[in-house]
Amino acid sequence: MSKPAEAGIWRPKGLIAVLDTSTLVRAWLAGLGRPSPARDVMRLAGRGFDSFTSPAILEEVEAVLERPRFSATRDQVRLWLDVFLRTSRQVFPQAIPGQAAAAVHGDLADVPMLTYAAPVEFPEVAAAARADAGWFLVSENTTDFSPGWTVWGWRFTTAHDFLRLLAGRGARE
Amino acid sequence: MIAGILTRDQLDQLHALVARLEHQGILDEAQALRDIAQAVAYGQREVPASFAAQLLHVTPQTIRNWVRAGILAGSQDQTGHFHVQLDELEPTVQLDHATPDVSAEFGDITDAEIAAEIAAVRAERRRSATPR
Repeated sequence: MSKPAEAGIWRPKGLIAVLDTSTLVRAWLAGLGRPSPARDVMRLAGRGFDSFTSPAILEEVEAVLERPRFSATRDQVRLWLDVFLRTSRQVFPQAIPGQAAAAVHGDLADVPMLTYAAPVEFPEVAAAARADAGWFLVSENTTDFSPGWTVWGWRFTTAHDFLRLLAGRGARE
Repeated sequence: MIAGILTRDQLDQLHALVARLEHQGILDEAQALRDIAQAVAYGQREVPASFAAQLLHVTPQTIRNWVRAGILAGSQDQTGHFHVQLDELEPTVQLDHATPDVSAEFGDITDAEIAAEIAAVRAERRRSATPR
């Protein structure tokens, strides 16, 4: 009867999200056995929303999971992140405006997610969102970031709240 | 898993994942994967919305909404049922396959503990970046 969308070519989903280090680490630690909003969000990257990430975020995830507390091997983590990367678009350092992260004061200035959220003004990224789209930073770190806080147009949210947002997409009024 | 065709490796991956899910008692998702494997074996390019919902951990209504809105690639048949293209589900199968079985070890870890490990990595990075 109808055929709303074809696979194979990239179609903007109308909603962009960057999953931060805490979300990806939480997704890893959930394994297969436990319900986890972080893992569910990661599994929907590229399908329910357009996922953007960066080498800095991925390297930080690797470094955290390799710490003695988690003892993951680099090969394991890279294999896992490689799959995630296939459903995401990368933003590289050369695309970052100089000193962009300086807009965030204190220790937050070296948070990769914030540094890489800056290129939102770049046409390539902005074009991925429709007029009614939202740009989200998905973080499980609610100590440093309050859900609803906005930086450069990006809104912080938790994985749990982001899933609820995704579930409501496309629903008829 | 390219529409209707599975390589030997992909088929092995799928069956290995089904076995792991069953071992962990995640039976609904394992069954959804079996259904998908059967659809592939029959040369189908799409699976019912309910299969996709089970695999993606969302409701069938969400899948229908996404297909209708063009968010997810799929179609609606003449009887009104929605279907999702198999290609849309491939990354989830691959991600699950690459996900380690660590939930028993870290299932109770707190957000604060994770934040502390991340903070330690950032502190190390700052130290190594600071000229002596």
